[in-house]
Formats: sequence, C-alpha cells, structure tokens
Amino acid sequence: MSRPVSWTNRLRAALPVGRQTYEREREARLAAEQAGRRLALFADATKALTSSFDLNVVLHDLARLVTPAFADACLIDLVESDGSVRRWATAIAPAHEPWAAELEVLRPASERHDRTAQDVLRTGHPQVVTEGGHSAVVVPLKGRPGPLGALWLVQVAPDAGAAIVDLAEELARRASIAVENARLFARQRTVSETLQQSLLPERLPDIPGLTTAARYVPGGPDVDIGGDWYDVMQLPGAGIGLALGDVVGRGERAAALMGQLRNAVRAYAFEGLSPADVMDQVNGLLLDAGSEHMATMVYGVLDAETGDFRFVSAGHPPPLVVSPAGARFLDAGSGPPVGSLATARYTETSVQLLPGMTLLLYTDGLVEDRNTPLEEGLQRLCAAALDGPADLEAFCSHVMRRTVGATPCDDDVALLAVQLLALGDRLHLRVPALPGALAPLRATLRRWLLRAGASEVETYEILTACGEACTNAIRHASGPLASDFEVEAAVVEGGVEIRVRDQGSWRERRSDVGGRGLPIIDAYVDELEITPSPSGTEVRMRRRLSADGELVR
Amino acid sequence: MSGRGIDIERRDDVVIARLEGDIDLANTPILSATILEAVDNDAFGLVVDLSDVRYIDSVGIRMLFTFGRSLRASRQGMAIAVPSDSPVKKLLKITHLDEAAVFRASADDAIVALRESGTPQY
Repeated sequence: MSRPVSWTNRLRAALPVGRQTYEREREARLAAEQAGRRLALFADATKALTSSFDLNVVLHDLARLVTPAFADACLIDLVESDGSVRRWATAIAPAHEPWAAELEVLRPASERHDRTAQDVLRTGHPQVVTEGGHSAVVVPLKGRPGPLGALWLVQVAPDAGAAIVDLAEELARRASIAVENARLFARQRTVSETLQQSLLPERLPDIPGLTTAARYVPGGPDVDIGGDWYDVMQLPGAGIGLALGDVVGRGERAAALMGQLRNAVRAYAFEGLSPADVMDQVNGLLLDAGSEHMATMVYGVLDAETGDFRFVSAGHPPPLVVSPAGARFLDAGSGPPVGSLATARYTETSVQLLPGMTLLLYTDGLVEDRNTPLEEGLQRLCAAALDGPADLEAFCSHVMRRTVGATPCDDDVALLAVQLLALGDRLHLRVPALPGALAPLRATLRRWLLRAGASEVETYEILTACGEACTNAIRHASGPLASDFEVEAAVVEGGVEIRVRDQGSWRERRSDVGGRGLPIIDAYVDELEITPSPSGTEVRMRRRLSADGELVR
Repeated sequence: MSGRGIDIERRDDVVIARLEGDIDLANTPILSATILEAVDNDAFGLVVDLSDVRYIDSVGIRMLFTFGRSLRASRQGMAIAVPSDSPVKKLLKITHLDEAAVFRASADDAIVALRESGTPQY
C-alpha cells in the first residue's frame, strides 16, 4: 500500500521552524482519527457478531468489516470438534485477490498454514509471518476451555506493525465471545430439540384399519421449546387412545411437564380408565404436584370397530370433524384446563366417526396468533379442511400451509388427523407383525365382514379362523425386528375369501400350523389352502355366507 | 372390571378368574401370569369364567390347557364357566378343551362341580 509521504517530506523541508510542533499535532490528529476509526470498527464488529448465532454469517460480516479499511485480507479459522482447523471466513480486498490465492501461508492444509495456525493455537500468542513481501498477523481466538481458532490479518507490506497486532487481538477477543455464544446456543438448541423430540412419539403406531398423520412445528425464533404434544395409543382391545394438549408456558419446565402429562395420560389410559376418569386423574395429579403450570388438552378413545369416539376436552380448542358433507367443530364435552381447578369434573361427549370422515385435533397455535383472532382462525381451519386432499399426509400439509403458512409461528403448532379406513368390496391391510395389531385388525375385518353381509355368527367364525392365520404370521415374523404381513379380503361368489400372506418360511411354520391353530381354521372355513414359497407363506381361506346375508352397498 | 380384561375373586378356597373381552396373543401372557399368581398352594382350585369373553384364540386355549396341567400337578382342580350361548363355546369343543376340564354354564355351577369332583379326575 502506497503511503502519502512525499508531500509530508516537502512540508518538512519547507517549514523547518515549528516542524516538531506541527508533526506532533499531525501525529496526534492521525492517531485520534485512527483511534476513532478503530472504535467505530469495534462497535461495528460487536454489532455484526451479536446480530445472529449463525457463525457463518457473523464471521463473514466481521471479515468484510476489516477488509479493506484495516487490512488487505482477513481470514478466520476455527478448530472443529475433531481438532482439525477449518477456514470459516475469507475477505480479500478486490485489488489483492490475485496474489492472495498464491500465498501458501493462507492456504488451509498447506504445511506453512497449518504449522502457523497450530503454533498460534498452542502458544496462545500472536505471530507475524511473512511470505513474498506480504505479512500476516495471526492471533488466536481463545475460549474458556481452550483455543477456538485463529484470525489472520494480511498486509501487502513486508512487515506488519505492532498497531495491527493490537487491532487483530481486539477483534479476535470479540470474535471469540461470538464463537463461544454461538456454540453454546447450538448446544442448547440441540438439547431443547432432543428434549422436545424425545417427548413426542417417534412415529405414530401402525394400527390396522386406522390412518393417522401428525404435524409438529416449534414456534418462535428462540431456543425455548413449547409444551405441545400429541399421542396415539393402541389400548388393550380395539380402543385407540388419542391425546393432544398444550402446556401453558414455554421452556424446559413446560416441556418437562408435557412429558409427565403424556406419560400420566398413557398410564391411566392403559389401565382402562374412561376419558373422563383419565382427565379427572390428570387434573388431580397436576394440582397435587403443586405445579404452577396448567394445560389444555383433549383425550378420547376411538373404537376401531364402531367408530365411536368418546372424548373429553379440558379448555382446549374444539376437535374438528370433516366429512364430504361439511366440517363441524365438536363443541361439547368441555371443562376447564387441567391443573386449574380442584373441583373440575369432566364429562364425556361421544361422536361417531364414519369411514371417510377425518377427525382433527390441534393446538391453538394453528388457529390463533397475534394477527388472527380465534374466530377467524377457526373459520380458516374449517375452509382449509374442507378442500383438503384425500391422502391424510397431504391433507395435513395442506391444512398447515393454509393456516399457519410459511410465516414463522409465535406459538408451537401440533396437529393430529385420524381416519377410519373406508371399506370397499376388497380390503387390503398391511399389518405390523405385533400381537397388539390383532385386536384392531379384527375390528376392521369385523366391520368389513358385516358390511359384506356376514351374519354375527359367521363374522365371529371367520374372524377366529383368520385370527389363527394372523397369529401364526406374527409368531413367525422373520428377523428380530417386526416385519409386516398382509391381509386381503374379497367378496366372492357366494361368500368371502381371505388371504393372509407373511414372510415367514414354511419350514419354521409347519409345526405350529399343525398345532391347535389349524383345526380351528379348518372348522370355520369351507376351503383352506396353504401355499408355501421361498419368500413366505400364503394362507387362503374361503367361507360361504348364508343366503340371507346381503352385501350392504 | 378394569380395562385389563380380568377380575380375580377369592371365594373361600376357590379362586375365580373372570375374563372379559378378547383373549389373544397380545394379552394372554399378562392374563396367564395374573391368574397363576392368584392361585396359591392353599387354594382348592380355580374357576375360569369365560361368560364375558367374546373371542379366544388358540393361544388362549393353550393357556387354559396349561392351567389344567399345572393345577393337576399340584393336586388342585380347575373348572370352566361358559354359558351355552357363548360364541366361544364351540371353539372349546373343537380344540377338545372340554375333555380336559369340567365345563358348567355359570361360575356358581362351576364351583359346585369343582368341589364335587374332589381330587381332579381329568
């Protein structure tokens, strides 16, 4: 960089008298200007470094602030978790880009670069290195546990002065704080997200005859997590527990309480308590624990066989039922939020969910925000649900898009959608090879058989025969991880035909089919055919239906 | 009756296990453990009441066979209550459970039959 010295020399020569005074004044003025520029830089640097927790952004901003006003190039390296050094930010004054690419000392993974960086990191002291008429000041970024990285300021001058070392050290100090904060933030966010995820179901259970889909979107830009949750429980028998709630408040405490609530609901539900009793118990539990938090929630049990949904709401926005004929909110069955009132009693409401209808549970974040009053939000949800696609996953995406859209939410949003499988002349189910799948499978088959015109006795007997084939498929599911098996039912001339196809091998199945299961199947069906193949086994059963049974169309 | 599908009553020295709903691969292990735990060595015998059972599969039937065997080994008896109009009655015949245990139409009758049989004969 050229220095405007020539006119100063001329000045010196022309004004010998008072020269020293002049020079002192001038130096003082330059120093003051320099100090002012530096202070402004530090202020800008602090602003840039605290503007975001995204290190990529803030380190690039810092490098660009420094270049070209204070250095011809600025580079920032950070130590990664595996100990390696990675270049995070590079800013080179446009005029100097050609030579900067040539300098070995600036090239990560080059021997000179790495040795210099490691020296600085190890000693914690700045270094000045020169290469081909350029000089680089390398200062460490220091963190509390150890070195974080290095900041490089490069000058097109053979030797960098002490002033630029001071500048580099000051910038490095500020950058270090930003790096530590960003890493702390990232850790906190990871903890929060892990906590949140561990409190929600990893995946919804596969329940034959039932389709479910859910969405959860954390709200707000901060690391705080919310207390929204949802749960789908395959209860003993053909009952399916559906829970969705919202702990009032945010943060780890709200999330922890949410976890407790979710488990409490599960425990009471699996004990066979009615929805009202579950809610009474949960309310008592919260009040006894002296928690300051309360929660709104919906809990209900859906009978997979009849479609009867008995539910209770504790101060929660009303569930929505969508059918081809229209959408309606289920307003009844409401009590105060759990944890708010010791004398609260919750009463159940029942609604029948028919195949083709969609039941929608959601938290208030979906229908209410700073700019949307509740009434408007409910209408918006209604409209979105009415023109949603048939596929339940697509339906949920559609509802999310049409309600909260792409704008970041202030609040968490949870959404749970449930449908009973619509039944046709043919039934095709993919069933997880788990004992718990048997009851809802029977419920669905039962619905289908009654619809196909089977009498009560015929339905029972076909279910029993089919149950044996399915039990076999489950017991011999290949591998330690549960695989699926398939059940197909079809109306055929004079009766019904059911096929159960699994992936178990014939060899391991033979002994068991010959046990008590086979005579049962044999007694209840008119035709039985077992077809083994290398990929699995198919059990085909055909049963005539009495003449009075008629297909319900 | 709780949602677990079982209710245990001790009437004098007879244990009555009332089962409810569906009995299949999913709940047989817990039902079996609950019943076996309830029948201690002092009990005269066990009555399994299937009056409210809507569905039972071969796994449930096997459980009943096992009860019969293990009670016989400890010189205790077992009787089964199943009403004549029960949907599961035919299945008990198909699987020949009726040859391995005393059947009566109600729990009360089953208790009487259990006492009359004295030392198990089956």
